[in-house]
Amino acid sequence: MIYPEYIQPVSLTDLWGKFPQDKKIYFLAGGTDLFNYLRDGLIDASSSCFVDISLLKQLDGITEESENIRIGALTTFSTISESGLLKKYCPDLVAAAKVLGTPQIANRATIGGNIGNASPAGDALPSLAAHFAKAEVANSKGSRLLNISDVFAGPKKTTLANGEIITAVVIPKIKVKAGFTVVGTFKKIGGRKSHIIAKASVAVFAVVKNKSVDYISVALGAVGPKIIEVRNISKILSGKKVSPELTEKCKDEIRKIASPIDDFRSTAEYRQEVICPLFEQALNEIVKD
Amino acid sequence: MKIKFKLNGELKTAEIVSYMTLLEVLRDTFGLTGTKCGCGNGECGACTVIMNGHPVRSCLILGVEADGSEIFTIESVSANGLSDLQKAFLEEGAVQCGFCTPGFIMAGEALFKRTQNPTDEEIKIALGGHLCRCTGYDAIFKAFKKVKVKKTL
Repeated sequence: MIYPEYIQPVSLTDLWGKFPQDKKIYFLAGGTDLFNYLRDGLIDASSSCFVDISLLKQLDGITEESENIRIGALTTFSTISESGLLKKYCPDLVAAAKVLGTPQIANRATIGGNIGNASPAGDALPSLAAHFAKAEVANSKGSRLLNISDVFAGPKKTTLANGEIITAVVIPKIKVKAGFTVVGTFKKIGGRKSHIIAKASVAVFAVVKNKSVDYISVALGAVGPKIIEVRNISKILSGKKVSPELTEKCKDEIRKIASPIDDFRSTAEYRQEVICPLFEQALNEIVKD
Repeated sequence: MKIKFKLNGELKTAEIVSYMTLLEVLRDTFGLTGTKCGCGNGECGACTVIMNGHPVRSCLILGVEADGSEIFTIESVSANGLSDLQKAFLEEGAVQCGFCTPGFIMAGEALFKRTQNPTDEEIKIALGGHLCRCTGYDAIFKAFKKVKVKKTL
């Protein structure tokens, strides 16, 4: 077997100096997806270079800024699932982190990797889309912020140039009216209870007082080539009380916008069928008297 | 590449090639064959070891990433006789072919180090990352529960 070139930079500045010319760059963080691609022959080893970024400790950790929560790209899902800051501002992302893979996978897998892998079934992605998060993307000349939805070009494809790296994800903090609380959850369905890659998934993030909704944002995973934001749900529910009738209207919006396909994991028909009850389950879990 | 790390409490160094997985380093370089390769792609949990206090899958980690870390394998668990969890596995018949057992034990040792009194849900989450094709999971779950009962007495 041929193996890719391997380099291990010790700092971000060191990183740019070390890139080999004419090779496809794969950043190695947790490795929980990358090694499988290598074994499955999805990576052309002879023309690739693995850049191990595990020593770039400045990319690890969750910090609160005045307007945003900043999650470093190397932050693992174990860390995310235990973060008090994220429980307060992004309970849906915490819920996603808790059901991602298994404890062993969550101890290694990183949020930057989940974004960079660009799978429509990535567990963190519906939540990041529901929060209108931005990815911080760096290259040797500087860095820029990219809407999370603009990172994805299609299944497993990003808009990033070769050698550009995701350094962090920035999530805007929601303003919460007095008496209201931030709620959120993530639901996915798969073939077993543990270690699931979603056949369909949904993140719901809202600011509520019992059943009254001040703000709501919903995004769907694995029912389209990219993560799907269901923006019309906020038009239906914002300023209203959740009722069976309004929930049905939301489900109609989801049916209209979901565009699932058949693949090795599930069928379009099943995904289309299951996404609405999944949303309803999530909504009923977080919006209640 | 040269790596230096703590393996089962002892400082070790090795000269390895960059593409060797941690699993290969443990088994082939150090001869610690208690850690198994079941699927080689992170599905089955048989290769679980404890890295810096957390259970991880050694088939998805490069050996060079172990540089500077502290790693415990199944060999460390029975260094002074069988652990409570290992005894419970024997008592409950939770071992048949034994291939998955080191992974389950390492997940359990990590769990009981984190909490002496895990809930049923916490046990199930810890077991969730492991596949066993012989005993079914009931006997393994009972073995975990037995340790729990012992530890909280």
